[in-house]
Amino acid sequence: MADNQALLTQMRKGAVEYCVLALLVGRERYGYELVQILSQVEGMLVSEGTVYPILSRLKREQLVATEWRESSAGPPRKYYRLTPAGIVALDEFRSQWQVFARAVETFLEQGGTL
Amino acid sequence: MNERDRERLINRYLARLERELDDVPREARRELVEDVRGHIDEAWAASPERDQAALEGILARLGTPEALAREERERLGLGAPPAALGLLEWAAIVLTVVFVPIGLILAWLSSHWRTRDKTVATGIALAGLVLLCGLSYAGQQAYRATPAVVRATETSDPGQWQGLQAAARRSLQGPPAIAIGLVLAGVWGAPLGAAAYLALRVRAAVRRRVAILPVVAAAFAFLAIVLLMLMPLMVRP
Repeated sequence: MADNQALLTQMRKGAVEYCVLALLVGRERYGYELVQILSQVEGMLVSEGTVYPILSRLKREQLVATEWRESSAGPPRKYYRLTPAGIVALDEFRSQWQVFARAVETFLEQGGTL
Repeated sequence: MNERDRERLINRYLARLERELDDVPREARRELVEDVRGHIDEAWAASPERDQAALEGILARLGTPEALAREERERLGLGAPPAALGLLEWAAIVLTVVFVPIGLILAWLSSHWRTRDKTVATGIALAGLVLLCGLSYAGQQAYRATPAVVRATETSDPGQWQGLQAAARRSLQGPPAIAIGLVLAGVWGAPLGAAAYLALRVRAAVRRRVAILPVVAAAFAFLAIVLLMLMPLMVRP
């Protein structure tokens, strides 16, 4: 089952990036805010800190852009927003993911009866 | 929990993270540490509890520095960190001290060091070689400039030879002796510098302190040799 676990980890790692992009649709968010939302959903994160390498990578690939903003309380916050390239990447993932997820579900649910 | 204790705990965590990210490009390392620091501050500000357990909880939820570094490396496409030091790497460090060419060849054979690090180490050693060549050339020129009469005294006549030796001793007392010491340290310093550099660029933070030990030991040995050689010259006949 070790291989199975590795596969699930890889799938989750790939998908989390797009979940982060999805959280930025139509609005900006700062890092800690993203972590809070993602960690509330069971099975999304291995640990809270792993969000930051993901954000760095999305920034490197120019799918998100960042901007420092003063916060009402405490130090300035780094805000993330989708770039046009990020919107395209998210749309592509969304359509492919839905097709793939439906296909897997079909087999998992009715495999023996098909 | 007072601010000093809090800072100490946070800094220890961040220092571990930085150490783990040692082989990650500086810009990426700086950004992750900055992001994590920001996260800790936000989480602390939002925490209803203000004790050490609360801070430890924040750090625990972040994940271990090792896990974060692994994630960062993966997202950077860097792969696993280099393996621990093997026999080849140890031999490279030690032999660079003893006999530079062999040591450096071994270092180049090893995949442990980055190309940049190997190039710098080789450069340090070459700088020593250049220094050595320059000195022997200067020595040759000085010898040529010596009046023929003095050179003629290099005879087998023991009396004259002793006189010459005494003159050499006199001229080597004080500042000249120190200058010679510095020059010798420079010539021997190059291999030592190259070896020290290799040891400092070892890509496993825990091992770095151990790797520098043979280099430090060799440095002391060389210093002792230099002093022993200069001692008779510095003592008045």
